[in-house]
Amino acid sequence: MKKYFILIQIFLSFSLIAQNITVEKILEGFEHSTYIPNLTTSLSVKLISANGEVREIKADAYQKNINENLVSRLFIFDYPPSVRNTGMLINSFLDGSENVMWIYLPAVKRVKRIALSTSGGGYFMGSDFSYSDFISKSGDDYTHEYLGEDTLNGTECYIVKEYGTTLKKRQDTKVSYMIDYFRKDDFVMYGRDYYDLAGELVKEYRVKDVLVMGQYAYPTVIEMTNVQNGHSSVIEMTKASADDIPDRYFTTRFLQNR
Amino acid sequence: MKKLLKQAGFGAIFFFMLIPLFAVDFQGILFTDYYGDIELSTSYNNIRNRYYFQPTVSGHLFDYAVKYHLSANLFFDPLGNPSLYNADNFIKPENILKEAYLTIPLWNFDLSLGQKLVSPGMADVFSPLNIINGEYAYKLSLDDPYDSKRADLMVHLQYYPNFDDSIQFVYVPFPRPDYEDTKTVTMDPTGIDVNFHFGSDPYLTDNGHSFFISYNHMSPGFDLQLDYAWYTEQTPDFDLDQNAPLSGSVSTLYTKKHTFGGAYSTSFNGIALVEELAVNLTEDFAGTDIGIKNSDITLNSQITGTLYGGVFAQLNLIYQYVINFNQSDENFSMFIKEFNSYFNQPQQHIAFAIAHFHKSFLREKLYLALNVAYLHPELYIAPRVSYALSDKMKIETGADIKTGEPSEYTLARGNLSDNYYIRLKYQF
Repeated sequence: MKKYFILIQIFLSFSLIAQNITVEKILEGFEHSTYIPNLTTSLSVKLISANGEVREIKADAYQKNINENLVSRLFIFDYPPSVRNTGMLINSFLDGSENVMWIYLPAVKRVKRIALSTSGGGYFMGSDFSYSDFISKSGDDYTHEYLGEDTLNGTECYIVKEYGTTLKKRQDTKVSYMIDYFRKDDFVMYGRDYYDLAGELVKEYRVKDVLVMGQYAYPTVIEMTNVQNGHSSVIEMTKASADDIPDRYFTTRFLQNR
Repeated sequence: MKKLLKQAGFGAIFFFMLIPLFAVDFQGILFTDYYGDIELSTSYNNIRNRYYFQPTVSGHLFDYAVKYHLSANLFFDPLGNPSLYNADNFIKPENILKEAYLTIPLWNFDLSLGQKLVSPGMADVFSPLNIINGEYAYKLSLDDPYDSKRADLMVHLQYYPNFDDSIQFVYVPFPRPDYEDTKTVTMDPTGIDVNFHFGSDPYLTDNGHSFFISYNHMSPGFDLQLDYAWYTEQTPDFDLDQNAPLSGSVSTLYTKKHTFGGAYSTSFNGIALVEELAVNLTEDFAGTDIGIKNSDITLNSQITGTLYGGVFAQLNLIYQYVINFNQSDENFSMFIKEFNSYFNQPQQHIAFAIAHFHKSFLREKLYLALNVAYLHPELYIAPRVSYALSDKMKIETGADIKTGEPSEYTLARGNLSDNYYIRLKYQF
């Protein structure tokens, strides 16, 4: 009996050690690992239909943490020809303020303010990534629950359930909840499963390659698969750099006169 | 002047033939399209069949010290409908050069010199502040980008005191008038023949010199634009002898206009809102000269959002108040409606609405759109469908349908008959 009691005590102490990891620590590690102050990269998005047809989007992307509350992102599209030189500037606010987005349309030579959800309701340039996949989320908008540990494609991960705190948020994103897989060794979000409003698995986000830049680790090849229709999209980032980007890049002047 | 333009046009063609051999950043649009007349009150007509090429070359010189941009329009239309702008089958030499300018960034200035399109204002359609460049008067489809604005030769200076604000100054020494190839229109509403001679100058050397200045503020909370312009109106007025009954020949003239205005834009809860206001003061503020357009106040309210099912929707409500409407001499009353129609000022209060809806399917390969305009009592309905055969090739079709009959006015211009089109486009 005493033997069993000791075994139970050992089991409980291991469980407590395991419980020492918290959602806060995971998210903090994720932020520390991937929250790069400056990121410049060339982006290729391959859209792969269920029958294997491939289309491609190419863009240059710039991202900078302008201050503690503001992350600015700039996309300059290069391909397909119909969107060449179109620019998109997105300001995301970490305090929960509404994101602001301007688009430069070279055909009419005008910078236009658009509502993010006008575009975000759909997908980024016809891919399986929505605009909300690219923008920073306010901590208040999402609730996180630690579910334990598991392996994903042979990699040990912490599992976190994430969902919009309000019903409106869930309806806006058309996602009831997400299951996030954070790699144990560097907290990179290695995978994410999206569940639709009916609770069915709809999309799988999988990181295929990670670039280590000093203290940062950034996913450079990401595959998003819509398991309901068989369509998938692969983002590949090349020429990634963490060098400082001048603030002037994230202005409407640069958007139209670069 | 015309000979010079012709030489410049052919020079541009030769230049663009050589560009692919040297330039890295060379883009182009090639398309062929066909327009057919489906007006119920008339028999079927072929309207237009363009074989179009729009090359563009752009880049930087001297280690990014200078940016250059050169583009052209080239087309051949075997139908050559004389009632439209392409009576000679080929594009007119003065319209071949689309844009040709250099931009020099200087500290917190951007200076551009050359022939350029500049689009002030914020509303996407019927923007009352988008007044710098003239346009093609005859449009079969209101949203045809190949029949829209004509670039002007200008000095364009933008000053940026900080990241959020800018002041823009544009000087156009020789404005280009709205393009209408119709040289003479004979009007005979009362048994008196009057011939209206429309000017065909590619650039206005008399009474030129247009000035535009605007202040722009773009920040997370809102965007603001304040504008003032003193400029030569690109739509012609008519040189009438007010002291005699209207008869004989009448020529067009281009008069000066002041425009004050502003635009405001913001976004909230997934909605983008634009308010744009312009006060236009013409040379005939009293409204007594029927040959000159009246002054007006125009307000355009635009709201954009996403409807159920992810349908993009945009609504523009436009209101115009015509100042001193119908103050002209009774001797000309028979012509007043004609001129008011030509100036798009048929009533003192004008209100109309334009709605646009679109949604993409098949990962943006299939695009469906509908434009609807309502100007009491008539509707304009323009459905659009396009399908991307590949990343570079697209097939487009659509129609422009108006309820009611084509305009009865002799001077009426623009899209007069219902039509449909089909276009095969290759872009590289």
